[in-house]
Amino acid sequence: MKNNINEELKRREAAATAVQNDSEEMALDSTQRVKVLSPGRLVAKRFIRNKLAVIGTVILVIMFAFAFLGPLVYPYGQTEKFYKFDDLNVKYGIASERTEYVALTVDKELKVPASLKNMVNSYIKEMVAANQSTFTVEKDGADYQLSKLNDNTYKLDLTDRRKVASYSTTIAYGTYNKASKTLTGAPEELSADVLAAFDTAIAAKQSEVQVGGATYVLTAQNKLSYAVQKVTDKQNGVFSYPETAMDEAFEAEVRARLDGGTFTMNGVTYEVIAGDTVSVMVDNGRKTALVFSKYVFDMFDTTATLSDDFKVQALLAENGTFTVDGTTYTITENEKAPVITNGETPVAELSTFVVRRYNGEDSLSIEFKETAAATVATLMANNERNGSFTFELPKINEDGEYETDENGNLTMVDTTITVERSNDSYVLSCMQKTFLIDIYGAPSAQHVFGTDSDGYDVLARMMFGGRVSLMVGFVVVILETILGVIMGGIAGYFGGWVDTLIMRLVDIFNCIPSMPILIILGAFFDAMKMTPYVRLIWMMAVLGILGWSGVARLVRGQILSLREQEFMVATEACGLSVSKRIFRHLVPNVMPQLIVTATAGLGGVIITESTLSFLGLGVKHPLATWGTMINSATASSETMIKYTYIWIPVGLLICLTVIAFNFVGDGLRDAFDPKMKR
Amino acid sequence: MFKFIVKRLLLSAVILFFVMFLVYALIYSLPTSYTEKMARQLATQPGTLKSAEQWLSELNAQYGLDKGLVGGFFVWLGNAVQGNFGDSWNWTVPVTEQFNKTIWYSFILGAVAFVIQTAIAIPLGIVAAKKQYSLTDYTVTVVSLIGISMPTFFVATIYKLIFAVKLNLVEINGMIGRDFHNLTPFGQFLDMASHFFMPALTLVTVGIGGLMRYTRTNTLEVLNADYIRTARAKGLSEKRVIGYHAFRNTLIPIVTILGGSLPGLFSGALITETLFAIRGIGYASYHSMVNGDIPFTMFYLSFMAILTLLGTLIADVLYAVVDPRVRVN
Repeated sequence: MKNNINEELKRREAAATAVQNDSEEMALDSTQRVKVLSPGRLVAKRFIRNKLAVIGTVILVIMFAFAFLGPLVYPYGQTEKFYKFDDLNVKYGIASERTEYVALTVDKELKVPASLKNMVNSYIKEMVAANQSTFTVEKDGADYQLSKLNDNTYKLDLTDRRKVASYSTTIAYGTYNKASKTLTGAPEELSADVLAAFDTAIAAKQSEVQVGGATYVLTAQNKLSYAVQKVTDKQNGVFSYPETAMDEAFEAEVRARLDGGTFTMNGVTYEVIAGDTVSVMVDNGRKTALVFSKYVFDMFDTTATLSDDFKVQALLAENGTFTVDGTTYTITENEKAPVITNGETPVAELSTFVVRRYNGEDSLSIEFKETAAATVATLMANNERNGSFTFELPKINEDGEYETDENGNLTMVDTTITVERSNDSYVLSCMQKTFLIDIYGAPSAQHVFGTDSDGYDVLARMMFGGRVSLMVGFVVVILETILGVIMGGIAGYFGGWVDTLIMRLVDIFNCIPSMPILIILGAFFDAMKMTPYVRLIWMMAVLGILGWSGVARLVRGQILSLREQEFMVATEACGLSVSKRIFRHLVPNVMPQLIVTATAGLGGVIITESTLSFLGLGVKHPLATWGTMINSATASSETMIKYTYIWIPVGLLICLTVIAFNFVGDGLRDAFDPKMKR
Repeated sequence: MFKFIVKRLLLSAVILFFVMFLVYALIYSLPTSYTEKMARQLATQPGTLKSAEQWLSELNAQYGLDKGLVGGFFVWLGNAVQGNFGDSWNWTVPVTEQFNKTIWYSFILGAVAFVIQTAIAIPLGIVAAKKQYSLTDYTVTVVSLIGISMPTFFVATIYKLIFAVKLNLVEINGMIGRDFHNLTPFGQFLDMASHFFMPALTLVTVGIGGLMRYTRTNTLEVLNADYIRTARAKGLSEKRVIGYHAFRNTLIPIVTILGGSLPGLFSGALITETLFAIRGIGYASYHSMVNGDIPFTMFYLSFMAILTLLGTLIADVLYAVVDPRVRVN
């Protein structure tokens, strides 16, 4: 087929174009000069020519990358807490002068009434006031003697008079039940006559019953039961012993002296005291029961502890020596305070100042205690509240660990310790490296915008906040548009009563004040204690439902004019279904306006969302949003002034995003409809 | 015209009825714990003689909450039509009294901001349109867009930082100074004015952009109209063309929109008032809403709805009045 007409035509055309391309001169009226662009490309070209629109697009692209891609690259999460070591004025210790005398038990066998023990401090005050060295108190028939050993130590002596036995002629005989007429817990069974006698006595309201040569005493316990006691002859009574039981010889001696008297047995003198119950007493002479002291034992070796026995022996020591567990210790008065030594090794120092770590631990070195006590003593003498001293404390490095030199010893560093009075004690505080949540950290290489009030990284939260804001914006706008297109499309297409109904609905929604409604719902969500994510979804739904009326109005207006055009007649002639006619043929014609409104609306939604979050009624902690970030940084005037590096960048992010959406919206409108220039 | 207004008023009444019903339904379906909480609070107040249950049933009866959604709405509506909105729970005075106390502060604030914003926005918008694509035009466009894009709370906080903290010109919030009662009347006026400075500035900043853009767009449209070309062709001076022929036509839509926003002066600035502690209606309603003060909230919402409807009506009527070409129907 040589002479194919199509081939020939193609060949000629190619030749013609080749000639045209070769020759630079092109005819003025050549159609080749006119570049025909598709409508879409036309819009794009017009859009790109608009400087502001391009700037807006660039900002938006950056913002999307920042919010959605940023977190993928950025190492920190939105709820990742950061910690740091920082110098913090910590309460290192506490010092107070002991003004109360504290009791130490010398002999556990000797009982001293608690009421007396509690009074000792005031007795000592009386003694000091009256300049007495002994003080005698009588309590419950016994006499106690306080005597002064030195200014800071007193001892309490008492006469050790103890009851060794008691003798009684009334014997408990169980419980008698009136209703069942039984006696329970009795040492022997009683005859029916006796029990009958009990009944008559109870009926006659007598307490003493004499039956069968024995006397019983009935004491009512409750309505039905009576305690029964049998009264024996004087000589047939029973002994009871508080401690150890005695033999019969002892009992015989006592029975011989039931009306009082004394006897000696095995070298012990017993005293018998007559009464309803006869008591047998032994007098062991005077003994020291308690020792009261203001002294605190400050150990030279802070790991060792002292037994109470050691302390008692030390306090009671005469002539400056005492022996505990076979070791002899000496007490020497040096210029500051008495020191207890074991040969040459010092063991403890007696002081009236209590110096402890602030948590109560007694782990401070004796040198520290001495220095602190001396400082506090000067403060007290001068009646001052604040002071300070310098002491060597272990150095703590940047990582919060104790620093050691090459030999493994702790490095010491001179630390200024401030002393401040609080009530009766003095708080010792110093600056120390402490492990802290990095709250409001200043911008640094690690945290470009610092950290916020929870120790979260601000930049990370900006990214995640951007996600929420952009997502809320898009979801709400899409929801609004879908609702608006459906309602507006139906209203515009059908007209008539459907139109009227829908347009009145639009009027109603247009009239509902949305911000107050959102605030009410926010307070309601608060009351429901919703989780932040559920809240977020609800908020988007409500924003969408409140915002569709504008879109519906726009769509309806456009469709009212579009539906009269020829292409709609064509769709009808083709027999297309109504829904296809509306959503395939009418709505796409409204698309340009829809895109423009949606873009501009995005900015508005972002502002609404951030305002709600700012008021604390929108998206909640710990989810980050731009609004809550500004809110937490400006909650008080003080933080607002101090942490401008947090809230100003976040605010600018909101502004930039919204401005960008507005720029793009404007640009799109101009591009779609060049006649209507902004 | 009269017929048109009457028709619109009737339609507005119907819309208002449904709006209020929706709002009432929303508030009604909130958990009733608000009234319960209120009842418990009232019962623990000094001097009260009723128990919490009595208060609860009384409150429920007072607000018709015991009559179901529809019944309750009509009870509320019946009272509201007679001007009886009940006692505010949050402010412990009748709702209308609280309204009277607060509305004028809001109005003054709104009016000052409105006047300033109109005085700045309209001339600037016209200038920008006159010199389209000039530096002035771009500045006006960008500034107005920035104004639109700034969230109110951010503007307010920035102004606080600038004027109250850095420059130390005014107090950071509140409506009157500490020694207000010792000042002369003129001093009191100055004191209040200084406290209203930042809120008004905030409102102007946030609101000016929209009006400026609107003016610019409309002026551009007018400047492209045939009668302007005719005026220029007649050889009129540019001053007369712009100041007489163009300006008067530009004013038509602007007057309409300004008239329509007049009722809005009474609606208060919710965020601004709250942030600057100006005790206007916005501040009062914010605290009422957050604290579940149903009577005041219902009143405020119906007030807002009425203002919105009134605004649309005024705009429509003014449009017909200002532009004789427009037929009301």
